Amino acid sequence: MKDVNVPALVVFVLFFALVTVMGFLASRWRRADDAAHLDEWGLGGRSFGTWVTWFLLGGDLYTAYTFVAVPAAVYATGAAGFFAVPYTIVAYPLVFLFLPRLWSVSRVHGYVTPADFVRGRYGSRPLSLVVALTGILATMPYIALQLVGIQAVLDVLGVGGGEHANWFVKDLPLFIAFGVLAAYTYSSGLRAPALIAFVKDALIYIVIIVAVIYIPIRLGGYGHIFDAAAHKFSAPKSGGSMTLPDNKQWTYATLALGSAMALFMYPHSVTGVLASKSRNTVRRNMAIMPAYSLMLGLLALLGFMAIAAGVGQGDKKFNAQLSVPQLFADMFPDWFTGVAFAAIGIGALVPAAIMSIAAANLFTRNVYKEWLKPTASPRTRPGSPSWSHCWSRSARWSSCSAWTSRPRSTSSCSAACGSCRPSWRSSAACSPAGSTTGRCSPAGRPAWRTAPGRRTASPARPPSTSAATRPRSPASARSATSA
Amino acid sequence: MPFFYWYQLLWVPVSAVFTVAAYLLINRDEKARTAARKAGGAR
Repeated sequence: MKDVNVPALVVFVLFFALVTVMGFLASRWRRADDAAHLDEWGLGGRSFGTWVTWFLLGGDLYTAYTFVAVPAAVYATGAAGFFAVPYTIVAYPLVFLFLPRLWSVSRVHGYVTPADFVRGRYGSRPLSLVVALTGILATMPYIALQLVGIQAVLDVLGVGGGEHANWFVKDLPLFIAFGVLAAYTYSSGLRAPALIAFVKDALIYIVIIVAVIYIPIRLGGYGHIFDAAAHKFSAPKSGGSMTLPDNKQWTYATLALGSAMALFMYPHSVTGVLASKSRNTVRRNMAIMPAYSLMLGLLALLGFMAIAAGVGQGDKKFNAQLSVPQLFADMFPDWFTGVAFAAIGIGALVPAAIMSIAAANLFTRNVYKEWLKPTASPRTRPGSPSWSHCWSRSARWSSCSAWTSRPRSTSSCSAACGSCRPSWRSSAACSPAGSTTGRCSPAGRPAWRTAPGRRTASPARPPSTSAATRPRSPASARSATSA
Repeated sequence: MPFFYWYQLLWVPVSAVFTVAAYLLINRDEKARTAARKAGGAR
């Protein structure tokens, strides 16, 4: 483990270089006219179709936690670590119910973060602040977890100096990785992780399919793998079990259910959802996301394979987090180990980038601008050097409160709309087709701008537009007003 | 493979089938509503 695995390291670095280049090029990918806008940087212009969203959400939700920590938990505790499988099974049907609605409301009012939604829906600034801070707090350890995942891979690769190196040498590769991540996230916004997610998921699927076929062949079949795991956990004080003991069953079930309910409370998951271009894209994705859950289940079984392969056997101090990387290194030829490690490493970078973007959105919109410096120059926002340009245009749009439903949320509306409204004109919703509908055209605007009396009835609909010609689907407007 | 593992893995495709069915049903319903509204608007 102290020797550097050169072929694997070369492959790993090559893939890492590839995604770095992609990350910087991503700023040109599907670029809209108004690249300076937060919708562009933080939500990719709200234009991602079904497949991009699928890869993005997959890249977003299935993180280094999935590749390293879940199998590690199965390796160490057996059945209890498998909770991630029922968790993802329950999650998608659950959010199928409310995410399309969240999407529609956010689209209509220009919300970018969950805290924006709370601010607009409940009209409470403190509540919105609490939601924003909770989101940031919950995201930070999650980002840290991604770094732990990268570190586990680097450890097994032999870079990072081992136990005796000083902290700087040990963490240097990590600093480099995170610096690169920060640089391309800054320049490309959400487009970078969305594009890299394609590479990541392709690699992950290849590695998993190879792993669940090739490793059992080398280890003597699944029967043998489960026997080996059962043998390990039958030992006294093994700290785990093959099935759940009676007193752990409720823990298991509630852990799965609670995690499922929390999944789309994470700001980065909401960011991924809001970046999609239509309500149906969201629904469709909830139906096809379980393909990832299957992968997760197979990944969890890698923990048992690591047991059967004798990873860490006899080493009392063996770090369970290293079990899967070590399994790959032991089982695969060196070059494929590099591919597998690149998959884990990039699999950590994509969510780390999205989480950083989500946390940045929360901080700038809901903490900094809202509480610390209401007059903040829009340039202080991340990733958008020419922000003021958007701000000035958005001022004209602050009158959008006329068509939000609740008078009490007027100020919050202008805050939310003030930052987002202009992008409508450049995003898919207001593409040439949309701009003829009166919603975006200058001619149509004054019509509802001067109609404050319309605040009560079904206000999200500008009076000058009919249901058939509005750019978004009638269904989305319907639910947006009722929500 | 013990029951605990294959049964939970089995539910992944099963729940996916249910969600896809729900998606198709909702889609059909929305199309029907849109069509009904258009027909109403033409009058």
